[in-house]
Amino acid sequence: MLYRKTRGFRLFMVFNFCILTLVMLAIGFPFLHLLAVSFSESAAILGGKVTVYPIGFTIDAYLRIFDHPSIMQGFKNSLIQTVLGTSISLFMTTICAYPLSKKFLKGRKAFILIIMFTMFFSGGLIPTYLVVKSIGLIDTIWAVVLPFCITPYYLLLMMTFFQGIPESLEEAAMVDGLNPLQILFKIVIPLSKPVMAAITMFLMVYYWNNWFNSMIYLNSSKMHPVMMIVRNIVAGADLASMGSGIGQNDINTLSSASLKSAVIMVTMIPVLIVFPFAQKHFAKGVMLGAVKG
Amino acid sequence: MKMPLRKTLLTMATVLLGVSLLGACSNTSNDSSSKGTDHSGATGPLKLSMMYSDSSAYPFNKDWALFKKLQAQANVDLDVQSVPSPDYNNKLRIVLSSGSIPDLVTEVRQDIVSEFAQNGVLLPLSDYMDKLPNLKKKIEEYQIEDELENWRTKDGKLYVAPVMNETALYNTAPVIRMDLIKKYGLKIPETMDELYAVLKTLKEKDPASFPMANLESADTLRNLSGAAWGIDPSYNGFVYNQDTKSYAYSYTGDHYKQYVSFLHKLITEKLADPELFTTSLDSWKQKMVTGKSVFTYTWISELAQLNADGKKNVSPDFELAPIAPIAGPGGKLAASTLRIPHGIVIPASAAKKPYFDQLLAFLDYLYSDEGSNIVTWGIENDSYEVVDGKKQFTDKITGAASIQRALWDSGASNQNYTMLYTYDWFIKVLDNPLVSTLTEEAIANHWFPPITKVPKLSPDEKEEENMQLTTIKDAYAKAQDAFVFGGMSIETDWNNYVKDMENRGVKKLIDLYNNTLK
Repeated sequence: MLYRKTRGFRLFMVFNFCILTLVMLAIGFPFLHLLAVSFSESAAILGGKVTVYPIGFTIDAYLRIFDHPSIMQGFKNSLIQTVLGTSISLFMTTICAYPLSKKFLKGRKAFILIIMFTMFFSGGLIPTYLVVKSIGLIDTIWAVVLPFCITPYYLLLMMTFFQGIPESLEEAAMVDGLNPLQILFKIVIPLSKPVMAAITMFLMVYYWNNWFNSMIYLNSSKMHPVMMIVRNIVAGADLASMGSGIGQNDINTLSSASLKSAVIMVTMIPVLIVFPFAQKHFAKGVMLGAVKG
Repeated sequence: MKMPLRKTLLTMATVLLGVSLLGACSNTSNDSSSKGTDHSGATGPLKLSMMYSDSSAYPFNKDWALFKKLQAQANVDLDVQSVPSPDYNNKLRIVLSSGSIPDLVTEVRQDIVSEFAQNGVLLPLSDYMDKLPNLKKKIEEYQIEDELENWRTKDGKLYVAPVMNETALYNTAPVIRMDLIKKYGLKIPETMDELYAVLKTLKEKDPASFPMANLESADTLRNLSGAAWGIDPSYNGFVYNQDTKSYAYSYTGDHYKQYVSFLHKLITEKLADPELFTTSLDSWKQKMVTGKSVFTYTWISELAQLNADGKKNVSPDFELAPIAPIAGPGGKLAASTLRIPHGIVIPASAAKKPYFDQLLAFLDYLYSDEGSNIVTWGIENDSYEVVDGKKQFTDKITGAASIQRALWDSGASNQNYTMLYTYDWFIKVLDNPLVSTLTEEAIANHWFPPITKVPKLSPDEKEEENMQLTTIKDAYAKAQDAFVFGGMSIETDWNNYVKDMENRGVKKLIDLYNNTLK
């Protein structure tokens, strides 16, 4: 696996470097631009002068966000929703996927078909609301984490992964006297870390970003997650100035662009913190699959 | 290595089980409070639940001084369920359909009232007018009956407690760079032809510019300038004609043809922004404050900000100023302003609640002089004082960065529960002498277009209307784009367009609307 330092190889490396730099810039620029806008003053933003560094440095946008009466409560609620929702989802998906991965299960195909059916057809918003309401979940955190805890796509993903685990491994465990539940927790799950990590990551991002369910099912504002507040600031910044006859005397020093950027920055940070840790497992997962072929 | 993972998973499972059991127990206790029926008898204040549209400009805060004042004066403790304003109508429909509706639902617009009123979901407030004396009095005082008539259902009942403006305000206007007008010795445009000439001159002075810009969409431009063109934008273009006593579709008429021709001319001669219909609010602002565009229609209250940024970016003389309406084929008319933008509804089920009378009394209190003062002016001798019989804000409010902001921070001037906007208050809040002088001129010169009559539909007709409207609106928007930007020729394709629109449901809807008149 030694590369000779030929001219062709060096040329290849130069191209490689250039193209990867371009890719990195394409990904990095919007991020830097948002960061710069969030710290710039309104006149410079509207003048189109801001590119990748702030002009007329100000932290007004951030002050305005943390001035929001319920932003801290929102972060707390989001954290609770994310942790609780991800745990429940992961647990439910696992115990649902494992039996379905066993070919000898009677009616397996029918179950899978029914589950797949929900990927393409849903009951609609109002009927779903009525179901959630009649179970008495409205305005409790369970309305946000229970009804959507099994996503068919992740279920199928996990099921396929479980099917890839050699049957003889489980048979061996059975010979050693483990019952099916023990096999699941002691043998199968430890072997499925890559898929678990990937799905956990997806779920976390889903629960962190999801404001819609909270908007529909949670009434008391003290339970609202931070993304709902963000949604209001980002979408509302435009509406507020136009909707009311009074208009918006408010954005006197603050451009709505900088406010939006600041909000996006603030809410992106938690996901950015978690991602590097999960990424390790992603890479592993890809390799595992590759070797197995 | 495997042991800790198994342990964590098992603990997780146990915790989950425990937590969900706890959750099941706490459900029952949560349920009663969410319905807001916690009326603790004679001792404490009456607790009323309120569905509330939360504006990001003044995020809801339970600690606003206003709530304490309301509790002290009206003995009511509001249990506010706030919903972000961009999604308010979505949630509103779900809540109204689901049956468990808070005692007071704010910011309900006309189409939703008429949709749900006839399903029996809403309380017919007009049946309880004897319990709402202040509302009754104010309706008479404000002489608003012709506009209120549009909110009544076919049987003449009123299902909404309307938010009412004492007068229409001249708060949107054509806006032009006054410094350039003076610099080049131009005349302020009074008709559309003069506007064209002015735009043309300004383009010659600065060939790189696109003199006219528009904030956001095609509909915004039509709403703000349509009345002068004789294409009143109310009710999707289906306008009641007083003379023929029937409805007609104005977007296939001659006035509309003139309107798109005018815009087409501006676009082809590069006098208007190529993004006229597609620009975003931020890029519109950018065009105005960098001097790339010099004429637009907008809210007068936006100008302070634009001028401040423009002075920094262009020149110290930069001045965008509102002008009188520019006369078109429809006459010299301002944008149509609704004096009743929305209102509060109460669920029909509230009539059976033990605190029903108190609920109505509170609603009526918001229309009383005392109540409406609290929600607009704030607290006497704190945020406002009476001098020579006239109310004015104290230094605490006028000294703040913005009057509006200061009021919002105390919970006043809130769109959700401010039911009456008096003229003297509005002028003080807007704090812009141009609005008051232009409004007075507008009233004196009859610049405000008359109220157009809204057809009263039954639930079935409403459904039919919804179905037809979707196709009509799509076809209308598509054709408008094509006419203005040159995808279709106004000379050759116009007749086809008119025919096409009629076949797409315009005819059916006109029949439907005319039927309601019989």
